[in-house]
Amino acid sequence: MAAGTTVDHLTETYRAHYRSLLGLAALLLDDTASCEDVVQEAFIRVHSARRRVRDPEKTLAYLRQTVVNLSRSALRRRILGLKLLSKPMPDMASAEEGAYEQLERDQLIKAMRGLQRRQREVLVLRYFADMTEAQVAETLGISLGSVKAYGSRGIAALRVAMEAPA
Amino acid sequence: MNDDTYEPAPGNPDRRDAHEPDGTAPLSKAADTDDTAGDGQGADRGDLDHGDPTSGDVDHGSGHGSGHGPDVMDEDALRRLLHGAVDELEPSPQSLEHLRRAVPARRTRRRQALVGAVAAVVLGGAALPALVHVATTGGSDDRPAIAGSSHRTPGADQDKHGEGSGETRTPRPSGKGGEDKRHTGKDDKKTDPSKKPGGDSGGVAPDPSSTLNATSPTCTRAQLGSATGTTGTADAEGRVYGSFRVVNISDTPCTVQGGGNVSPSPQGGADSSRIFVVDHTSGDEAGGLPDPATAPGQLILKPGQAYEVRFAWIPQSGGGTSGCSNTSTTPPSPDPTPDSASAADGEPSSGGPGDSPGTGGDGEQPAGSVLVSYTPEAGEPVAASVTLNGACAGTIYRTGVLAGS
Repeated sequence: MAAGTTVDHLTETYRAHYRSLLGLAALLLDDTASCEDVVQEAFIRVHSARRRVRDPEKTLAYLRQTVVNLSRSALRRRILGLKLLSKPMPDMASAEEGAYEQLERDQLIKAMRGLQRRQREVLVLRYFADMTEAQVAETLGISLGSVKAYGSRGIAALRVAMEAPA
Repeated sequence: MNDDTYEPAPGNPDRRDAHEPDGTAPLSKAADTDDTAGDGQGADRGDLDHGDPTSGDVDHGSGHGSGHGPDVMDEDALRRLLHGAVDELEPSPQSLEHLRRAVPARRTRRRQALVGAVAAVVLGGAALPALVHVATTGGSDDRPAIAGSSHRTPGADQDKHGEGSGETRTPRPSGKGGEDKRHTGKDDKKTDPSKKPGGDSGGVAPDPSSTLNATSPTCTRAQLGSATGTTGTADAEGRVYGSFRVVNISDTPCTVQGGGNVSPSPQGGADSSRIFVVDHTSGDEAGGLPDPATAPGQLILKPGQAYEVRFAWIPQSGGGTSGCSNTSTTPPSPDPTPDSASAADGEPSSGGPGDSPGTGGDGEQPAGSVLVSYTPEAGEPVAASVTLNGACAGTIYRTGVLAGS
């Protein structure tokens, strides 16, 4: 595969999926500071492994899977970090971060962040990434039954969270 | 898979059953933030719109009305909410540029890591036979094979293998132990066990100098002195063998690290662009030098003990005995003389072309000589120098650190 082809493929994938992956990361992560980092890293990982981009059909699946995995490890790291010191959110300096600020105040986002990680993952993949339950199960490495259970419990918990006064 | 298509999918059992158990209660907030022009049915939920600046368009209504079942609306609303929440997110302007740089860079790193791993395996495989070879040939002189560990030998060939087995320059006992253990395992079958008493005792080298190794610090420059340089007489082809000898003048043992630096400096008519210094390897032109395979891996100097670095001057072939004679006249044979100042530590010899014997009257032979200086690895100053008179162009083959006689 020539270098030019892969660069084109990169651009193509970027245009097609970058934004939605950014959203995916924003919904999965409990802070917005690392969304872009996570998506960038996912792109780099997936595209630097040639055999993964050989099949463009699967590129999005790989990207999503990687974003999910990275979001998890980012979460784990953060939990560890919080135990050591509770640091405030890093300042969003540039003006383009306005969207992230808005996100921070979004009621739904707040409620989503209150969910268990698994519940949130299932809901995001199912209803934001529009995966089927089988795809969600595969991506998260859990059984179909678990996907259903996490999904229904997640929606119930979300409803409670949304109805409760903030 | 398209994120933008999120049809309500009424009656899709697959989606319904995700929350069927509690399907009776609607996801009230979800309906609340739906910005479709509403019919006012959601007025009772106005309390949920508590000052959220992002939900200014909330109109307490649901475009889907009550015609749909609550389950469907829940999923559909959640879908829209999720998309709406992150809809504003834009990639940072330089993100694509960044990816374009980062992806090839990562790819290169991956490849390098892969190549490195393969190389390590290959070299590792090559190093083992080399170690066995060293161990068996090391018996030719009096040094136990254990000291002939290849990783400090100067020969290029050995150095290559040395990389595979980890270049242990520091006298760490643990590192040595691993190396030695592998060594003894092979030696026990192949070499005279009398040379290695207790060779199988946990991989610790039985040689006294090796046991000193663990505790002997590296020789500092101040500990090394009384250096002398000597040369033999030139043979018919102008080849000269010589050596530098450096003594541990301190009263504590120390480990010689590194072979030091042999540097030529052409004098008079000698041609600096045609004088080279290379490490001696077995099979090269300097056959009179000891085989690098027999060189000690590391050398411990007790107080008063000396190490040697031997070298050979091989004139450039076709250049007569000086290396750069291109005339038919017989050039004078190089007459190397040990430099008088060589014993003075730190004082480079000032021996010059003036010492050289007459070069004949033909005038075509440049009157040259080469001052060869030796600086220990521990650093400046130069320990000793010798002058190769009548030398003009050629190669200096040098050994690593050898035990002084």
